[in-house]
Amino acid sequence: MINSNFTYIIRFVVLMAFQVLLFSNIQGIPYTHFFVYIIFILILPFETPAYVLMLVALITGIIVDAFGNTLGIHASATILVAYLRPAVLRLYAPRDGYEANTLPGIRSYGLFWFLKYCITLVIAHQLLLHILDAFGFYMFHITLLRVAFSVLGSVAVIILIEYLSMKRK
Amino acid sequence: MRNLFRFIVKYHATFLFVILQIFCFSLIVINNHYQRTVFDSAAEVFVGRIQHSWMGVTSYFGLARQNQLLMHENTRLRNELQERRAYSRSFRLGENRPDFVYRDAMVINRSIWSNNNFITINKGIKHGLQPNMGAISSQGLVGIVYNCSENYATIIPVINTEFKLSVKINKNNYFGSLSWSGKDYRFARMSEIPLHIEIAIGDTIVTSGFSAIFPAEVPVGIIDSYQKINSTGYYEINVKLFTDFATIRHLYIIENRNRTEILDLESNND
Repeated sequence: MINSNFTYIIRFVVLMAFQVLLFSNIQGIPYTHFFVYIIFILILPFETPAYVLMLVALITGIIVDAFGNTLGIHASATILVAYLRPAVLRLYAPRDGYEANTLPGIRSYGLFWFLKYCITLVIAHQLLLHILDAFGFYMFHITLLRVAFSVLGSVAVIILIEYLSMKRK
Repeated sequence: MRNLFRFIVKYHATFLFVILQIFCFSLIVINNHYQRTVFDSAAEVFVGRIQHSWMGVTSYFGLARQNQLLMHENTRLRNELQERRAYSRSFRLGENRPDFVYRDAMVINRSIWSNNNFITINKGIKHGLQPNMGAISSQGLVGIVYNCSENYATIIPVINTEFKLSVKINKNNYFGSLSWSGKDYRFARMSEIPLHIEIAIGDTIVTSGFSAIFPAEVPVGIIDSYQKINSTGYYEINVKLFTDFATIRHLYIIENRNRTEILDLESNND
């Protein structure tokens, strides 16, 4: 258990470093942002309690905000993801439920399941993120365009990271 | 209490979510310049709207008092106007006392549907009222004070079959007599205008100033319709009154200070 906690902390640090130093600074593609750090919320064990998820989300969001000078925006969107995660997991649960000692990931439940799970939550994340960024519904079609492009970009990178971490194990 | 506790435990995730979102929202608004600007202007609009509607509600409570204040002010201004007129006249005639004094009063009772309508007001002898003073509203002519008690007075309005007053057509100063037919409280009758005088619908009727009750040119009404009565040689004119007797609330009572003198003088002629 201690070992596993330690693994998560390492993952968290590496992921945050990549996010704030690399992904947050990619600005070449119009409308597209790579906010892949929420993969950390996605891969936490099934039995993680809701309040732990949300507190982790708060810390994650605040760190990304602090580097991006957008205090509160990422935190808010990430907390939404943490809040929705249990419901989404229930929605996409296999007929017999999730097996013990498995983690939410491609290895245990397949690419298609992970895509559904990932896309649902990334959409929620990006939607709130960009609404808060625009702070309203003025020029909402542009906001939706940003959401669509960023969801595609972020999901692609998240799947890539998921595959890479599978190989390493 | 235990139920409340259970409720909170059951939905702790949602409670925590809401609390954290409020926290994040305040962080956003406090720390981000753009978002703060948007929030501030939205809040301003919202608060402004609430204050505006609240003003709309509260302004009704002060209405009676506001009306009272306006009445007093109007009375003061009318008296001041009379003083000014007297002052400017004093250069010509060597006198500087205004002929007419105004007092304000409130209608406490009135009728409009009988032949002999009366208006009762809340001022009487104590306030300096006497019979045969004039009464006008801010719209125009109302009537003549008939009876006074210590604190109250009754007025014979235009819409009383006993009422009779000398009035004139404003544009050419021909004068006739105003009375009421007893039919409609919105209209009165003007007679004694000979047929050779040109009149038109819409001409304004004002007081003539011959009665020693009203000053000249208090608005009365406009000509609504007229008939030529060839047998008498006079017009029968229907006058639409300016004063709306159905809604009348505030009156001014006019005292002519020279009335007794005029009447004394006139009685010596007999």
